[in-house]
Amino acid sequence: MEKLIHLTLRVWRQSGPDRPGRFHDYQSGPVATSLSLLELLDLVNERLTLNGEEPIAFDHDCREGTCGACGAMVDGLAHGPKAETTLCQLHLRDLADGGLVVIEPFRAWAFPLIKDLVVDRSALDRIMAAGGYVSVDTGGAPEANVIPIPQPDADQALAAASCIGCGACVASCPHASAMLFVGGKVSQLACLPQGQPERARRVLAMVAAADREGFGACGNHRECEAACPKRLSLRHLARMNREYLSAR
Amino acid sequence: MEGRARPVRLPFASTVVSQALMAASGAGLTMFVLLHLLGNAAAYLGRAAFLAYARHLHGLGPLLQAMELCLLLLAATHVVTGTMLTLHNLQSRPLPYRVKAIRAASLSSRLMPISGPLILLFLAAHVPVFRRPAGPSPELILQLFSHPGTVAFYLLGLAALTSHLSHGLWSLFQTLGLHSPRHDQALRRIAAIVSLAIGMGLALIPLSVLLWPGFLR
Ligand code: SF4
Ligand code: FES
Repeated sequence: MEKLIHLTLRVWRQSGPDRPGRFHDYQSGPVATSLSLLELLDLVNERLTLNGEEPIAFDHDCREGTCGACGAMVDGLAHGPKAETTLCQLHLRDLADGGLVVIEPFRAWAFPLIKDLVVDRSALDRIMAAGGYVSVDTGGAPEANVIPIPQPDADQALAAASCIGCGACVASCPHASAMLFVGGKVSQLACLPQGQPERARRVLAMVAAADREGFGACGNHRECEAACPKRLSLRHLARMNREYLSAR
Repeated sequence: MEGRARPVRLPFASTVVSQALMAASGAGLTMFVLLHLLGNAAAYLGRAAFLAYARHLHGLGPLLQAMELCLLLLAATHVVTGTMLTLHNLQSRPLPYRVKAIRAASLSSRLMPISGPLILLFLAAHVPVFRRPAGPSPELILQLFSHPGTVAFYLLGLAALTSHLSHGLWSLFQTLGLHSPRHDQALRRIAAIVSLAIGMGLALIPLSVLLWPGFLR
């Protein structure tokens, strides 16, 4: 028999950017612990829809922890209490039976709220557009190993590239800083030969874009690293600082 | 989004430059604190040695003034940049979370915007008393720290300094890009030990006056 639990969901409801928001409580009823939290929200939404009420808006797409679309604060933690996990991969077995689960949107000046748990994270896209790319036309896929890359560099680039752009680093940072996100891309491309020609320009442009978007300054609280579902290391942020200071 | 201009201007060229300024000026100020601690040690070599040290220090003349100016510039950079960054960061999340938990941030890191102003407050009381043309006399020290209230105030100020340094001394390496996971644990431990040593070392003089009747007499 599958284990059943009962939860009280306290969800932030806000019908639009300029409307007042408030928490609303929903009882889960007995639900299987194999459900994900988003699936429980689906259930609640079905009930709300049947009752003619507005369903809870939340972002999601792949539901397998790879796309970065989902994200909310669960009990004050970005993506919830389970480490190295996106919100969509948080299951009810990770939560305490009979407990209250507070679900709040990511909050940052640079992430304006759209509705309920949905926030506008396009500021991250604009940071990417400022320099998070390599501007060479590559043609067809090149032969592998044409450009030899030392294994440690390749490992670090790959680790940095695992960022899925979810914004949990921003949401968990006491300063709402996006520097782990910026650091990931800067570090990834700084480690690879393909990133070299635009290395200095890239880091200056991406940091300037993050500042322009209104993210906070890094205070080295290390909350981002701990909240990141891909566990991007602070070393990438340190490398970004190094890149930035030597580029100036 | 248009129409959402932030009222606080970014300090200096960018947040990263501001952070680097905080790190560099903080490192400079820490150097001074270490020198101060070294100077304090003269008090433990006896009254005569302390008087000689004070005389020697004030005999430096223009060199001393240059050092004071440097110190003032460092402190001003640290305070002004820190204040602007704090305001900037406060605005980065205008609506606070109703529920917020902490995963990794240390208490000292979260207390930075409080321990900083506390240190400034402490210095506003401490510097005018000791920065006088004749230099610090043993009598002044004995008189000042024979009041338990003054000693308590000093201990509070030094606790703030210890807390501030235990985050700052680690943080500055990260900000200047000198951090690597391999040295992280060691660096954090060293920062904690050094800041504790500084705080306790500086607390020694007020406590000695209060608790050790023969001190400096
Ligand atoms: S660095 Fe981590 S927390 Fe931040 S956007 Fe990328 S995956 Fe999400
Ligand atoms: S929905 Fe894609 S990562 Fe969660």
